[in-house]
Amino acid sequence: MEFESDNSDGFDRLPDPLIHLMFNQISDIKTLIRCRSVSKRFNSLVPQADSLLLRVDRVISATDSDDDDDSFLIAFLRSIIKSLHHLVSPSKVLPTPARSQNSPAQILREFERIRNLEIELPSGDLRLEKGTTIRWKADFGKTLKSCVILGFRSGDGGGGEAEFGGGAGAGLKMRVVWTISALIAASARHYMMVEVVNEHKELENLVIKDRDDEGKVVMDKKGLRECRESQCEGEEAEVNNASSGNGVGLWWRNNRTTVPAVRMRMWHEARMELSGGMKMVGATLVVVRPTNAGGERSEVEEQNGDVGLALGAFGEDAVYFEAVERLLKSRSYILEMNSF
Amino acid sequence: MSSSSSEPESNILTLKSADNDEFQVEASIAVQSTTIKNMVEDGYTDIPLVNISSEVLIKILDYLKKHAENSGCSEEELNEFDNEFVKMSIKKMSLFVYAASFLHIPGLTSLLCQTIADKIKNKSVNAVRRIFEIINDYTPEEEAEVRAEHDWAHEGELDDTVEEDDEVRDENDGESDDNETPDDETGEN
Repeated sequence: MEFESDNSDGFDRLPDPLIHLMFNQISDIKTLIRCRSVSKRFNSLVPQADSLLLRVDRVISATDSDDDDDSFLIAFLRSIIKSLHHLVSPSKVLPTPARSQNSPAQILREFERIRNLEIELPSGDLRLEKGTTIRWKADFGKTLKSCVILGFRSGDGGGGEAEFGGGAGAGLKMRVVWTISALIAASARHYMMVEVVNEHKELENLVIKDRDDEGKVVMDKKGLRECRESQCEGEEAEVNNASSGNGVGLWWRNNRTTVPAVRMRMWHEARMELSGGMKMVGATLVVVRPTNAGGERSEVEEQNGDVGLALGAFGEDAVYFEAVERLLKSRSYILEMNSF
Repeated sequence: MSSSSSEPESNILTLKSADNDEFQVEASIAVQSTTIKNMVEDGYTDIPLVNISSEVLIKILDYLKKHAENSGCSEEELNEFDNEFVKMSIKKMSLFVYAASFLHIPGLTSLLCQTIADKIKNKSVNAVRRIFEIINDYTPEEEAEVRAEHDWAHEGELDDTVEEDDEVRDENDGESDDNETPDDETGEN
């Protein structure tokens, strides 16, 4: 690092590595892109920033009306679950954007050597009944590696006691719906980023989260490499054929990578009260992993692996961590599901 | 007495600022700066710092003393100290960032850069230029071109303000030379 000893004031005399450090600490892409207009020097240094945060303003779904989104989820779920009450309440309709949309891939193309990337979506993906909370964390490589899901209804007037309180089988429908919804959301986010992953070979760390803290997709160095090497391709969701007529500039919620055949370990408690006083009804913990087809892992290893994943998923939130710990004490059930 | 003592704890260094002021500091504290640490390992106890003013050096030494391992400060106390430390104009901060970086004190460099980053988060291009005192070397046409390429980034409510203490205010920089003393004035008509 060279230091000039002339008397020029201000930040012009700071050496490039320092400005680079500052840009990495700013992280926010919108601010950084704006800095390109400040001076030619900034313009040349911004693209070198390697730790970035992209805040997405809004997400366009393939079809404009929310009704179609509803029917996609419901039609899909109907194929699995026979009798289904109307679970999904329509969300706020997204306003039609006046300006052209820039896809994350386009925006990120301006940066030459991204190493750490965080994408923040404006909100969670799931439309849930009032009082229902779902949190999930999924690890991806070429395809899903693991997903931990925590779901519950708030115990204060959230209702659903009848549904969940009736013994082991009660509420299973709901739990499965929660699980599948989370898996769909996770694989859609993964699919969204495949282009970026393929374009940025130095990427070592990718996190896709949302402002509601509902779900998080994580891809580590190894996972990113696997994704690139296999040039992971997505599959269009069965029901919704999102035609790509609008091409570049729009990106889809309804296209997603295939979820492989999975094994799900589920723990649940009909009623649970946490140390802080929070009451949970139908508290459910699910750990989803691709089926151990080759049988390389023993049952015990599988279980321990699942427990480890569960404990590691929501470590940052004391309340959810406690819920996980409590749930792990109860019996677990195994479910298997085909690829979808 | 050999100056490359093998007991760094008792070793006192003399740091000399750009203003030629000398400051005595324990080596164990000063070596938080990798630059100084390297010089100490090479046997120096007189450390000239020709590009750091006394004002900046004094404050940096405060930082080092507070953040030394044996200072006994809790994490809370350190955070409070850091928050107070960065309360200065951005212009001043550029001097500190420069010094911290030259001295290779990663924690301080990082703290300052983060503070600066937070300050310009929602600012417009013009505000950023004024805050950093950066000369705009674009021609109007060039600038328009760059802006147009990313007009989405310039949308929305951007903060155009530059806080008072971020602007250049040299007269408040601690000069206290009083040319007149009250005594001289009282008796005059």
